[in-house]
Amino acid sequence: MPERSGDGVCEQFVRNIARRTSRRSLLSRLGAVLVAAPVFPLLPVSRAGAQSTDRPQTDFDRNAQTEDPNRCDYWRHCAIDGIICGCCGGGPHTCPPGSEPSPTAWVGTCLNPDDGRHYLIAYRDCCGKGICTPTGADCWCNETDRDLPVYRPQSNNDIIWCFGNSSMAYHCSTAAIVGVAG
Amino acid sequence: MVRVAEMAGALGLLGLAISASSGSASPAQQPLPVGQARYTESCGGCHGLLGASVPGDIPTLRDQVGTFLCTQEGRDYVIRLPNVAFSNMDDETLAKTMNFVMFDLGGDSVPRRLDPVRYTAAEVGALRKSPLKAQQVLRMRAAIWERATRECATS
Repeated sequence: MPERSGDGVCEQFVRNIARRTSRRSLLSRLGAVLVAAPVFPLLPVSRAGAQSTDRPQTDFDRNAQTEDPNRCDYWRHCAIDGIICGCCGGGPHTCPPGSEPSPTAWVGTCLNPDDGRHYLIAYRDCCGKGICTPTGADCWCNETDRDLPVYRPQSNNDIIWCFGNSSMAYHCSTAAIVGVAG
Repeated sequence: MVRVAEMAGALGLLGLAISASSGSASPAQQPLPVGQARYTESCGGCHGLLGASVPGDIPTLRDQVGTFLCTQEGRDYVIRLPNVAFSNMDDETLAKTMNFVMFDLGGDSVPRRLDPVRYTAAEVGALRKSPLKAQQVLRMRAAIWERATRECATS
């Protein structure tokens, strides 16, 4: 009796299937699987993860850049409404000289395209000084991710967030990372 | 620069690295738990990332808000507050958020001896169906707070 190789076993197995199965039935079963697949939910583990991290991509997300923090399309600016402090002698999380950070802030959630993660961004207005005259051409922004109409004021970024300051005079807005969104 | 140091210091307390140049945070930075993330996004702007911002104008939560857990009416009251009841969150997320507020930000004010249980989605879902009106908030807050502090002191 000839010794049966691995190839031989596989060949015999496939031939047995071929003898019992017509090509048409194989195609019909495959078709049924393809049609039925979307009806069944994904594994719960996969869905649980998706609920906590998946956020629909916004127009801003699709066009955001990570190189120049002094432009409106810088990734952290997805919900900024105002003048970038970096164009006024300050930085992404520093107020220009003569202005002071508000103790309150508007908080947004922005996608960093470099690592694909969402970050919580505090847009803390710098107050107590007249409005800044920015140095760059693309420094006055009105980005609106997660922004709601003004009749939901706590979720609206048109408002000057200088609450708690001695002066409500608005100068510019910073954009500091305050956490990774869950 | 003092102001800058204060801002950085406050953020540092949260254990958050701030990257000024590249704009991306440290890879080691872990996502915040859901309750804390949603608090930061929806509440922390005014109440402060650490639960304190403008004392007198905006209620301080840190080491204070847990006092409401000393009475059932106080426990119910915080969920019925309009900004809580009407928040843009489902019941499960709101329960996690308020558990962060009450038990984590509440800190030393949580009545540990009473061993209060955490909010569930069902409890929050039932309470938020009866949001307080503006006049109710003003009328009820002082009385509920007083009874809660008294109960905390005797428990």
